Amino acid sequence: MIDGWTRTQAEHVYRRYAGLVRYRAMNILGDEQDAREVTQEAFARLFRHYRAEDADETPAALLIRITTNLSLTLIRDHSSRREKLKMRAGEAPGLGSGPLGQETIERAELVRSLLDRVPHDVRQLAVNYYIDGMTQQEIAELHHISVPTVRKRLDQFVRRSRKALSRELARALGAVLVAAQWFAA
Amino acid sequence: MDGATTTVDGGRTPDCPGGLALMKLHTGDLPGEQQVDLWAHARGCEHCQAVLDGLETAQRDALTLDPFEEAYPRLAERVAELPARDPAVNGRPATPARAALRRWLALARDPRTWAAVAVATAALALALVIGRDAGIAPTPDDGLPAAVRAKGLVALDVFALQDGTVTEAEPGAALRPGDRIQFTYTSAGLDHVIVLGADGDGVLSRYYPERGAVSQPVAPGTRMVLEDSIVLDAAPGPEVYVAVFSDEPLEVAAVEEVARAALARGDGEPTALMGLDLPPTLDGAVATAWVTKALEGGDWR
Repeated sequence: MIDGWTRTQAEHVYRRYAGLVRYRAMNILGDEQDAREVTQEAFARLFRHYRAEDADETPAALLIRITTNLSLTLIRDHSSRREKLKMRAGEAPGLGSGPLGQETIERAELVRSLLDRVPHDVRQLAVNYYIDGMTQQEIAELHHISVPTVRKRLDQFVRRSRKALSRELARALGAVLVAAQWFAA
Repeated sequence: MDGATTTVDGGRTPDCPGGLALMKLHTGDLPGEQQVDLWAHARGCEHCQAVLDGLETAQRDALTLDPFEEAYPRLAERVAELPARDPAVNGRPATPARAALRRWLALARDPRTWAAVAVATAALALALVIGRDAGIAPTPDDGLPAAVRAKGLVALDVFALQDGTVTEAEPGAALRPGDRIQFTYTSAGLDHVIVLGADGDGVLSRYYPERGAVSQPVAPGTRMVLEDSIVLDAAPGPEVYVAVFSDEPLEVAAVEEVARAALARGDGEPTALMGLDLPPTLDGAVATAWVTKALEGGDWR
């Protein structure tokens, strides 16, 4: 018995949802070991907090949100995370093992690299929209918010990302110009 | 899918369901006909099939790398290390229900509330003593119906014997007349079961128990094999199976009546049994499974 869950109940939920949690953790983190860690921690939190009798949602919905939060926390806490992601940039990691298009993989990489530039609530929605491929309606239902709110936060993500990208582009362009001057000198 | 459909976003088409729907399709959390429609779409859609394949691979990897038997003791340790359960602070956003819960918690911090609770507890204890003496002592599950306790936890799965090979039939798997199928179940602590099925002609059949007026006890557990197998007949189309699990034996006729009513509401479509709602008089938890029966050279749709 774990915290009110019989072993049978725990086993059934684990067998039913372990793939979903791992799939999402891999997509968000792109790292095998971190995905395993997040999967185990997500189930521990589900067993601690979820009670079917007083829940107004399914275990799947709670697991999806827990997985997102744990993954985002891991990204934030690992100071080397960004470097690790850069190292893997050419390896096309994550996104389960399905033969998804290169475009999808590249977009997921880009979204990951921009996540720490927006507030937490915006980050969660960006993951759901750009990495999970959820519709705005689905995101609204998952987070118990309205579709206009989803749209507003996604717009915020796009605006901030554009700014960040243009800054980085300007920096990169500046470096190229300086280098060009040095070589010319 | 129509080959001329415009693709967007890594092969995704405007007809594709959202990512959440695909995840729920994989976990069996989609209700009723949505499952049928999405499986039909996914079979012909490269993008959706790729997502479902990814989920399937992740499922296999998760259970291979951390099988439940090994994960269970570690999970128990992790849970013990987590802060105590606080329904108001479990990472979920504010909803009317949660706002109400917070109001209750605020009330709980008020000393006057506790004085009232003490009086009520004393009265309840007295009532229980009187009740026990009168032979109406509560059972451990009193006040918590089986349908609520096992919500989302019971399951019915189908295995098929085709051409000498036994495979688990995914929801909506295409089988042929003459194929033999066997059920496994997850009882989630409920130890009586009835299994019914409806075929493409809308005919309701009773599969378990084969005879008798009430549901029969079964061994509790996860993915337990239900005795006896079924040979599929020639009725084409989807075939939906529904298992009703309960603490106490239920009248088979009463469950059949509910199923027939659902079929009638759904114009005889067997998919009407998916997400079957039981009336409060039948305290049971429902699980469904389905396959499609395709005749040689044709699809049921």
